[in-house]
Amino acid sequence: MSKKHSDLDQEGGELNLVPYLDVMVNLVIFMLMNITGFLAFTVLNASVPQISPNVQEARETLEKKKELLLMVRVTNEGFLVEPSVQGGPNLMKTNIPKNGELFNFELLRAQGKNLKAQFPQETKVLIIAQPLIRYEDIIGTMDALRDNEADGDNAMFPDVTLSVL
Amino acid sequence: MSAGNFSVHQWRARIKKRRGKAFQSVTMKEINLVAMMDMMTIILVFLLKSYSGSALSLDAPNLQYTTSSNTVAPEEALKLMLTKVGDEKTPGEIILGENEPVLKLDSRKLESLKAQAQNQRNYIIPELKMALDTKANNAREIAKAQNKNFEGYILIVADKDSPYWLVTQVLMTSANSGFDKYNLVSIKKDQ
Repeated sequence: MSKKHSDLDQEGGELNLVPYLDVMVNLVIFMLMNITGFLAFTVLNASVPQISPNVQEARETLEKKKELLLMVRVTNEGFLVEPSVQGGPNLMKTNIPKNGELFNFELLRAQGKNLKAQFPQETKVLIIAQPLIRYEDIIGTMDALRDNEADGDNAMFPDVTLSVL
Repeated sequence: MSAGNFSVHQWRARIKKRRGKAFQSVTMKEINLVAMMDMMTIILVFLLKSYSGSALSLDAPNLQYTTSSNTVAPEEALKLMLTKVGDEKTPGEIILGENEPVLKLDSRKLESLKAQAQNQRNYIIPELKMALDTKANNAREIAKAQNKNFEGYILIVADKDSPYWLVTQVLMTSANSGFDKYNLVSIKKDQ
């Protein structure tokens, strides 16, 4: 009786891991083949300019609120930041030339930070770009004007309206 | 104990004596698979976690994504893809939904669209407008059946080198069809 028992123990002693490993290897290879699933996507919200049905009403509302109208022109030469306040103080326009072939997003971010300090409630920006500007540079501009920090925290001007020069 | 009746130990000792080092291979231990299994499990868990991290799956061979430091995750909406333009061998395309090619953007079509935008300030692409109108009508009917409002969200995925005038045409056309809440899709910068 005891001999029979010890035989059973010996037979079930070691687990055969080979089939399990086969399954694992196949799963890993399958997942690596479909590698696009790795990419984590994000979205940036934007809108196109809208025409107000009543111009007079729209102007009055703007003047009453004394809102900041922040316009950023994106041209082949670089950025032109044009902040203005209806009926408010004159704000200086800033020209941010390209750094060689590349746009200077860091300076644009710093400029956005300055304006945000003056108008903490404002979140809107109008980006007006030349037709031949690359889409990547538009996204870069939106990024620079949205992020207060390089890591993407604390949004500055996340409400973007796009327009063409 | 007779010469032909060895115990296993005696037999091994005798062989070892005869063959020297060659006997080592016979007594080699089994490969330990546990460490490999651990590694496989960790890789598998990591891959599964990465999969679940993104609700959006995009499959466009001729498209390079833009990158952004934004962290807002995309939600399910109508997808509109604009693939790389300017290559004669593989002209760009506008793809709607899962995989419905709407328009081939060869050099002739691009020229006509560009002229339309620059000379007439007309930013509507007729073929795209027609396809988007159909989608908008369907979405409105579905929303109505579910007692919801049609919200008009659209995911725009464009190649990073696309010219702005073409992107604007796509945006204006979709706004014209009722999809005026754009979500511009990018890859997170730390990827």
